[in-house]
Amino acid sequence: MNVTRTISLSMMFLIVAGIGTYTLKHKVIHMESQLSRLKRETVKLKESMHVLNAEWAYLNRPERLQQLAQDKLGMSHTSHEQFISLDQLSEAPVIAHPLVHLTAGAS
Amino acid sequence: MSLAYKSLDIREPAQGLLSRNLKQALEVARNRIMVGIVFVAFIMCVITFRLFSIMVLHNGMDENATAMAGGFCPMGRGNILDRNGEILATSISTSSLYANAKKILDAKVAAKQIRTVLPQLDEKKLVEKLTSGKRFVWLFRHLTPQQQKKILDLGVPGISFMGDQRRIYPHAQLFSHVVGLTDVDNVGLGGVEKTFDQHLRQNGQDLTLSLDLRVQHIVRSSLQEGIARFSATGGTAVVMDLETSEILGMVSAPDFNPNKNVDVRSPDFFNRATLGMYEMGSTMKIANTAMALESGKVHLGSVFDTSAPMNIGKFSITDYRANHGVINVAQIFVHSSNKGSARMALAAGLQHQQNFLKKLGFLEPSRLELPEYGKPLFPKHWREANQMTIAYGYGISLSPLHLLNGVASIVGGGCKKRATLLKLDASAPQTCERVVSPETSKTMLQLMRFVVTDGTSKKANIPGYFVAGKTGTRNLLINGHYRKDRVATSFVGIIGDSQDKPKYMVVVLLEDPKASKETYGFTTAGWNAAPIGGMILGKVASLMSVKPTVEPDHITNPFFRNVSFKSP
Repeated sequence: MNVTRTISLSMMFLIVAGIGTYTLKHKVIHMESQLSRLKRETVKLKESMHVLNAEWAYLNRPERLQQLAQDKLGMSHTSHEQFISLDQLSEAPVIAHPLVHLTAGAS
Repeated sequence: MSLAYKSLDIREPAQGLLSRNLKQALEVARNRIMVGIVFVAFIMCVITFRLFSIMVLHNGMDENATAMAGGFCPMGRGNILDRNGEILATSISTSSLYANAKKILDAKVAAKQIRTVLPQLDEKKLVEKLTSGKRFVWLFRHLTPQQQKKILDLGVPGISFMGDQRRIYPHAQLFSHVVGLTDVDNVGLGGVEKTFDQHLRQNGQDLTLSLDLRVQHIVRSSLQEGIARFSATGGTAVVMDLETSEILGMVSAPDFNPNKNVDVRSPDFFNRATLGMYEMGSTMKIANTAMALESGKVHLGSVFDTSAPMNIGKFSITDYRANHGVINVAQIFVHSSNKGSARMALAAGLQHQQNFLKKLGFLEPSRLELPEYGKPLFPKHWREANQMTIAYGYGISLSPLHLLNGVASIVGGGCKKRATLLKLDASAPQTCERVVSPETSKTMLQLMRFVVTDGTSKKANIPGYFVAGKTGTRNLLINGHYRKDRVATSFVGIIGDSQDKPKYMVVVLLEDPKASKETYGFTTAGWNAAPIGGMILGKVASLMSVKPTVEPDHITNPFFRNVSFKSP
């Protein structure tokens, strides 16, 4: 009786262990293939980013930006006269515009 | 009755026989079961062991799975970046076409087919390659994806693609000489690409330079404008941060587009800033005056006679502008008197002059993180005649880089400065190798300020800013003669928040600028190199937020209160 019980228990354990191992193995294989797919995608995306960065650098050439700023925005080089300090600001003329009030005192 | 027992006796051995057979049978059965148990136990062990090994030892992966995961290809050659991380050089993946000549069926047909997609390939050469019998021969490098697809669609047997990398310079000619270029196999040919070839190749490490893209643009566009405006044949300009010795911009003209195939022997490849050796002319007077002041034998108030003739053999030294008479060291500098400078050098002594120039680094190659560098030319036998001509910048040939390092060392506080192209680590400790005393440094900066306010560099002045400078004009040596009408001009300029905080230095050199209506027929540096230098300084100042000074010049040295720089 004891022997039979031992045998059947061992059999059960064997079956469970076998099923367990192979289920696990297949799960792992599946995850592995997912991982390698993701890694390949990552490499592709990184390469795209690389090319896009190079294109971004090309579009940001200073001569191009200068041309665009001059033509489309009417910008030009800052001159030193455009820099003033805060104490000079209080002596600056008052701008009498309904939307902007720059006065020395309260209003 | 005994017979009955006898019959019983007969039964005993039969029972024994039966139990013996039974025992035997049981024995056999038990043995078989044991074998079965052992066998199953063995299989169990194998499975358990396998489970254990997969789970614990290989961390959930077995050999087959790792093969599927695939290797990760590194990005290849590292990027070259400016100090703000802008990309100056990068590599992108391309495909290159090669052929296995052994597998080509019909070379002529294949060549014709390939030429429908790549017409720039020479038909004869192509057929040659395809019939060469070699297992591997390049047909075309760096195809675009569209070209690759078209060639695939052709279906020519025997040709194949290999992953390749192509070096791209998004800013083309802006950084020609400094960044350099690579050949078709991504090996550095010049500039920083060559110096740091190993660094860029190992693990694709990036390289951060000290250059600033925006400053480089300012320098290049100003230099190009100067060359066009004054019809010069070439030139160079360098901007340096005086506090850190980092080079923010370096341009040599003419330049080249590194995206195209460049022959490294072409004259455009020549970096005038580092390789060009020039006699510096009057910009040398900065070093000469500093040298004289440091000698202890000459001070600001020392006077020299600039009207008396000075002869070296047949040749007599002349000053550009007429006689100044007897003037002091400060006036000699601001008026840029050759005779005065020569006399100062004589007073300081030949040995001192040599030692000082050596300290400044003028007698050795000026190294930068570039593979090419030039050696200065100076007299082997240094005599009194040389002593005099060197004082005003003739008889010794230096590169603009020498001038940059030398003047920066003098006016930047007195410690030796070595320009660098790599972004500096601000936390690194600064050691000082003294070249001039702090007082001399301040004095020289002040003198250079007077050159801008009262002297030859007025066109470099930007009202409201602290700008200091010095011009230099030297006659060109053409066919063995010094031509009076053909010159090379240079300008050294400094801009800062105030005289105590000089921030940026520029060196501009123009080769053979011509006279024009705009320059009233003059070719001297004050008319061409100085305004270009001033333009560069002004634009760099507004970019780098150098503040315009509101207070008038605050002259600390009482000596200057009584000095007049008016021309006679």
